[in-house]
Amino acid sequence: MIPDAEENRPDQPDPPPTLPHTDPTDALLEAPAALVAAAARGESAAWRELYARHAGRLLLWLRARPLGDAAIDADDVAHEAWLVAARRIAHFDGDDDEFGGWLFGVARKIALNTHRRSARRSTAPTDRPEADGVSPAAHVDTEQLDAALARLEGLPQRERDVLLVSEVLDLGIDGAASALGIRRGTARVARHRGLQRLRTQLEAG
Amino acid sequence: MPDARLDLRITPPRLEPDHAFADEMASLASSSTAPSAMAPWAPAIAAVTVGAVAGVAAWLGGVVPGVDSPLSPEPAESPAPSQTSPATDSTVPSSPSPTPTVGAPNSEPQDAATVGPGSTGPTRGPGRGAGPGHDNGSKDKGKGKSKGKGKGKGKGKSSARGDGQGTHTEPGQDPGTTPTSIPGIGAGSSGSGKSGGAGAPKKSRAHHGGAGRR
Repeated sequence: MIPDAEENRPDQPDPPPTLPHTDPTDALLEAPAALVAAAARGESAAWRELYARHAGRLLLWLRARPLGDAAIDADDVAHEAWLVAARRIAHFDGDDDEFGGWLFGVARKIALNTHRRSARRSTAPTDRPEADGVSPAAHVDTEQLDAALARLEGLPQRERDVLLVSEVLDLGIDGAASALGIRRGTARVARHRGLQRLRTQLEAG
Repeated sequence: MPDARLDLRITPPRLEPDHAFADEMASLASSSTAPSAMAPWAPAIAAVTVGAVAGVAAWLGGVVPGVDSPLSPEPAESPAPSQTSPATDSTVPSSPSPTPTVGAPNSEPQDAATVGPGSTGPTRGPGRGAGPGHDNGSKDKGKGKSKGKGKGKGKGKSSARGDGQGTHTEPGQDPGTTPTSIPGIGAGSSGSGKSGGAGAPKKSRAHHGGAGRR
C-alpha cells in the first residue's frame, strides 16, 4: 500500500501538516477568538496557552491589590480564578483579547468573596509559610511591578487601579473596565486623568 | 504625541501550567454548559405557563363558554332571558343609548358570541351566558353615569340578587319587583343593545353578572 511504502522511506522529508490542528498552539493563534473557542471545547492546549498569556499578569495584579487578610494568598485566588473561568468559559462570549479582562474580573470577585468570608475570622500569621516550589508562580519577579506602582503612588485610587490594569499590565481600557467592574467610559476618563496627573508630576519634577 | 516617560508597561512573566492543572481546566470547560443551550426551551416554557395561567383564570372567572365558574354560587343558566326583554321593551321604549356604536347586538341580544367581542372585555361577555341581552339593555337604561357607576361598583351583589329574584318569581314582572334591578332589566328588554358594543368593561361586567344569575 502506498502509505506503508511512504513510511518505509527513512529519508523522506516530513510532509507539511494538512490538518489544521496538527500543532494546536499554532492553529489557535490564527483567529481572534479561536483560543477561547478551543478552550471552551475543552482543549488542553488552549488552556495552556491562555494560562501562559495571562497567569503572570494576573498574579502580579493580585499581589498588588490589598486582599484584606494576610492569610489570603494571591496564588490561591489566582488558582481559584482559573478554575472558575474554566467552569464558566461557556458563558464568556468575547475574543482572546477580552479574555484577560474577564479573567481579572473573575479573580476580583473571588478576592472580594474571600475577603468577606475572612472578615469574620480574620487571621494575622506571624510567619509566612515558605514556598514549596510546586506553584509555578512562586518566584515571580515583582521588581518591575514595584517600580511601576511607585510611580502611581500619588494618584487617586480609581486612577491608580485603572492605570495598573490598562497600562502597567497592558490590558487596555476594555480590559480594565471588565477587570474592575466599571464602565468603559469611567475607565477611559480615569486613565486620561491619571496620565495627565503623571505628566504634570513629571513636568514639575 | 505619546510621552515615553509615561510608558508604564511592564513585561509580565510567562508562566506555564502543569499538565494536570491544564487537563483539569479542560475537563471543567468541556463539562460546562453554554447558556444558549437552554435558550430554546425558555420561550416554550413561558408560553405554556402563560397559557395555563390564563386558562385557570378564565375558568375561575367563568369566561369559558359552557363552563361554569367554580366560584359562582349558582349555575349560570338563564331560564328565559328573551321573555323578560319584551316586557322591558314595553316598559321602557324610549331609552336611547348615548353612544350607539354597535347595532348588531340589537337584533340578537342573547347571542353570547356577538356580545362578547363587541364589549371591551371580549372574554367576560360571552362567559355570562344569557346575560348579554339584558346587559345591553341595562346600559341603555342607565344612560346616566350614576347608574352605571353604582352597578359597576356593586358588581354583582346587588344587581345579581335583584335579577335573580325577579326572574325566578316572575320574569315578566321583573321591572316592577326591585327598584335596583328594574333599570338593568328594563334596559335589557328595551333591547336597543346599543351599549352592548360600546359598554365599558366594568359596567358590562356588573350587568352581565346580574343577568347571568337569573
